[in-house]
Amino acid sequence: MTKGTEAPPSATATATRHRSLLANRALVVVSLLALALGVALGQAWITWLNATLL
Amino acid sequence: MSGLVSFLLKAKRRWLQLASFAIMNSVVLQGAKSIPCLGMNCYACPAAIFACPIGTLQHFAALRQIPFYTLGVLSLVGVLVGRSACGWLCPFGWLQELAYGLGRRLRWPQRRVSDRFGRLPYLFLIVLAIAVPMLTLEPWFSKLCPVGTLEAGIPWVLIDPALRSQVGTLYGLKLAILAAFVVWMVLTKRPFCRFVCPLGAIWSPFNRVSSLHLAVEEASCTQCGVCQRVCPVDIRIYEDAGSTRCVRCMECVKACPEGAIRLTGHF
Repeated sequence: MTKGTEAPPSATATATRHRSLLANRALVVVSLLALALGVALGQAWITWLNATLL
Repeated sequence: MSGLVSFLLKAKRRWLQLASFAIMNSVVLQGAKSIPCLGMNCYACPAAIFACPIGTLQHFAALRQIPFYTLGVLSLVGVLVGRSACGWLCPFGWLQELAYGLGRRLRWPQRRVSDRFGRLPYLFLIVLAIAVPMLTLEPWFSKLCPVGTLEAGIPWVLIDPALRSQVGTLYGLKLAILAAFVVWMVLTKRPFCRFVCPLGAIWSPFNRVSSLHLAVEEASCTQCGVCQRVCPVDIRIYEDAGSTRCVRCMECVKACPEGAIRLTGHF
């Protein structure tokens, strides 16, 4: 999809992308843990209850 | 991820939005109401099959509990694709785009709204969707939400004669809010998404760190403004490729005459 050539990334841009990647990985793990914890606490059922009956 | 990138660039977004609206309100699979809806679609709609995440958030706020499950689902989607669900799945986002398109066809005067109001969704999220339910034990955002009025408030009053007798001041207020948004969305691009939506407020920060993201090649970009013209939320993506307001619709990627905007991903 890219037209033209890409300039080599600066050190700042590389560091920013690295931090974003780390944040991305950490958030994936946190999200999955939160999801699992929520299910374990019965929140999926509470969600169904709230959306269906209330 | 490259498969998803390829799909998003080739897919007809309008058809996917229509399919999403149909599936979210397909009546069947009522057991799916344990699953948070990936868009603003009222779960009180007679045909809705998923649970509105903002309604769920308010319910847990009233219970003084943290909705780990709903937040886990929303953050997982956000960290993978950012606000893409806003641009591809949200029924109310789709309706707003249709309304704006109608306004343009009818040559009604288009109104641009300053981006200084772009932080209002965070206010609606924190105050109306969390703090007020926590204090009043009532889901006040849902009570006033135009999505709920359109998809549930109006249909249920039409279907159920008993409810018609209970219509009062609050219902009148809901209708007035919906009417105001209907007019606004004909004149301005996606006003609910840009200035109100608490779900968009939750997903917005994820645009900075999501696996799927946009990149703009400054060397190729001529700042011609085509990206802003086709953008459903009226932003200049070349100013900030990771903009929290971007709904990742990919219209700018397809429209850029210089091919300066890329959709890329990592996993």
